[in-house]
Amino acid sequence: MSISAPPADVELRSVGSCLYEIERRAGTGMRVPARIFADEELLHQIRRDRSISQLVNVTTLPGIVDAALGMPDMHEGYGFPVGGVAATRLPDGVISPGGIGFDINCGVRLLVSDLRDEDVVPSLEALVHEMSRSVPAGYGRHGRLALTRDEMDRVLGEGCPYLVREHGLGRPEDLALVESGGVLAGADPGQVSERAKRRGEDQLGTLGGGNHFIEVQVVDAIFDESAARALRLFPGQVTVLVHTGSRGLGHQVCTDYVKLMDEVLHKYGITVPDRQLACVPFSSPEGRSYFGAMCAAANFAFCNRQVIAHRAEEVFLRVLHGKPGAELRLVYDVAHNTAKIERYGDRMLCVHRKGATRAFGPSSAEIPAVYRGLGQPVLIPGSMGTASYVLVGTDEAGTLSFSSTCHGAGRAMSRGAAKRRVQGDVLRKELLARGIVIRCPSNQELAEEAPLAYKDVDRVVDVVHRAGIARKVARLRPIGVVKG
Amino acid sequence: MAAAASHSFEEHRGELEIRIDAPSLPALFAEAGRALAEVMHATPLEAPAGWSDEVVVNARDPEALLVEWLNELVFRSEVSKVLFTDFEITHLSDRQLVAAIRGTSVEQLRNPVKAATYHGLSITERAGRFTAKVILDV
Repeated sequence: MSISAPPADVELRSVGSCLYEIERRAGTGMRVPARIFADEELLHQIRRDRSISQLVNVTTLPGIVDAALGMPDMHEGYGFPVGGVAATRLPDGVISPGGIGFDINCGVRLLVSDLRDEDVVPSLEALVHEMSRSVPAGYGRHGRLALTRDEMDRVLGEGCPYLVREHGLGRPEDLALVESGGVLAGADPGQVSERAKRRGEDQLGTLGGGNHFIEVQVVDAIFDESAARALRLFPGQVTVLVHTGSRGLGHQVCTDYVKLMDEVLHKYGITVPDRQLACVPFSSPEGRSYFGAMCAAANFAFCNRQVIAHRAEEVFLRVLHGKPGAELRLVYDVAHNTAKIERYGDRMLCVHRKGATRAFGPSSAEIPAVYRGLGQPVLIPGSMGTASYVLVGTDEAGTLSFSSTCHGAGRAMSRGAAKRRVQGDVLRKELLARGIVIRCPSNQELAEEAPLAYKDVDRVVDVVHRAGIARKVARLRPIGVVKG
Repeated sequence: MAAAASHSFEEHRGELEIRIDAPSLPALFAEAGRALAEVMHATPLEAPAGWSDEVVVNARDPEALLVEWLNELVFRSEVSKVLFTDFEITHLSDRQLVAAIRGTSVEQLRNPVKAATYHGLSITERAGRFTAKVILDV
C-alpha cells in the first residue's frame, strides 16, 4: 500500500472544542478520518514533527472505526505516534503490537499519605535517598524480587492478586483500585517467549531508565473540591507517584510479535504503509497469541508498580519512624500503553492506546465501586520537576475518544537536543533551589528529561478538560524525584 | 581501496536513528553492531575479552535481518550484562546471518535500548556501497 504523507501544512478542520480533523481522502488508503485534540499552540508544536503523518498511516489499519485519534501530548514515535488511539472492530479488525509500543502497560500509580508537606520536608533528603536505594533505577539492573520460573508464570497469569495473596506485597483492598483489578483476564503466560521471561526475571520492582520515576509530591491546587474529597486528596497533602512499566519483558514481547506479524500479515491480505504497523486480525491465531502475551506483560507491569509502591511505603514508615499518617494508600493505578477489549454501543472493539490513558466516565460499570458516579481517576505525570495532574474520566469521552485521554506532557525535543540546551549539574542546582531533591544516575540523564524537552503539561491538561475527555481535579507539585 | 564502514546518528523526538555506510553487506551488519554498542555505552571500552559466542539470526528479508540482528544483541546484552563490540560475520544471505561476537562484561548498560524497530527501515546499494537506516527505541 502506498499512502502519501500529508504535508506539514495539511488542512486541519476545527470540528469541536479543541478538536481538529483531517478528512478521509479518496485514493489515499485512509479508511477513516484522523482527529487531534489540541489548541492552536499545541497543534503548532505537533506539526513540527512527523506525528501527523504517522496518525494518518494509522487510519489505514483494517477494521479501524470512527477515526484515528491524537491526544494533545502527541509526538512522533515509530509506527503509531505516541499519544495515538485506534479502535478496531472485533472479531476481524486488526491488532497491532506497534499500536501499544515496546513498554507494554507503562503506567502510573498514585499513593497518598495523611501527612502535610511540613511533616515531611525535614526528612525529605533521607526519604528520597532511601527510596533510590530500595527501588533500583536505571536499565537492566537486578531487582529486589528475583522470580523462579513458576513465580514468573503466576505473575504473568495472575497479576497483582497473586502478589497480595502469596507474597504479602500490598493490601487486598488495593486490588479494586488498580485498572482491571491488576490482572488482565486474557493473559496467557504460555504465549510469552522464554527470551521475554529471561529479560524480566530480575526486573520486578525496578524503575528502568528513560522518563520513569518515583516522585514525592504535594497537592498544591484543587480544581474540584467534591471530586478531590472522594479521591481523598486535600491541599498540602504529601503524595507519591510511581511511573514505570513492564521493563525488558514487555520490550521483548513487542519485539517477538512485530517480527511474527511482519512475516505473516500478507497471508491475511494485509499491507501497511509502515512495517512497524504490522498487524493481523484479532481473531487469527497470531492475533490471539499476541493478545495473550501482551496481557501477561501488562500484568507484569501492574505487579512491578505494586512492588515499588510496597517498597515506597516501607521507606516512608522507616524514615518517618512510623509517624501516624505515613502509611501510603492507593488512589489508583492506570495503564498508558495497552490494547483492551471494550464495548461501545453494540460494537466490541479492540482499543489500542499508545501513550494514552483509559478514562471511563462516572456511569461506567468497569470502574471501582467507590469511584462510580465520579469517574475513573486519570493520572497525568508531568515532566521531571513540573506539575502532575489528577483528573477523572467523563461519559462524553465514550463518544469523543473511545474513553481515552492524554498520558503526560509529551516530548517536544529530542534527548540530544535537551542535552545541548541544558547542563545537568545546573539543572540539578535549579531544582534544589526550588526545594526539589533529586536522585538521578547522572547529570547527562537528568538533562535528557529536563522540563524544556517537554510540552507544557498545564496546557495539555487544559485541552483535555476543555474538550470534555477528562475533568481536572487536582495538581501535584514535586518535592522529591528518584529518576530511573 | 574502499572507504571503511562508518555510522552516524540522527535524533528523533523519542528515538534514535542509526545511519550506516559500508563497502559490503557483512561490513554493514558489523558496523550496525558497533553503532549499537556506542549507543548503549557511549564511552570507549577496553578490547573485548572474556565473552564470545556464535549468533544465528533468521528473518524474511535483509532489512528484517538487520533489525533482528540488533534485537539479538539487545537481548544478549541485557540478560548477560555484556557489551558486544567485536563482530565477525561468518555467513550472510538474504534471510540468515551467522556471526561470532565478542564483548566485555559490564556492571550496567549506561544508556537504555528497548529494541530496534521496522519504522523507516532501509538498506540501499549504490555504486558498490551499502547504506542503511534503522530506528532504535531508546
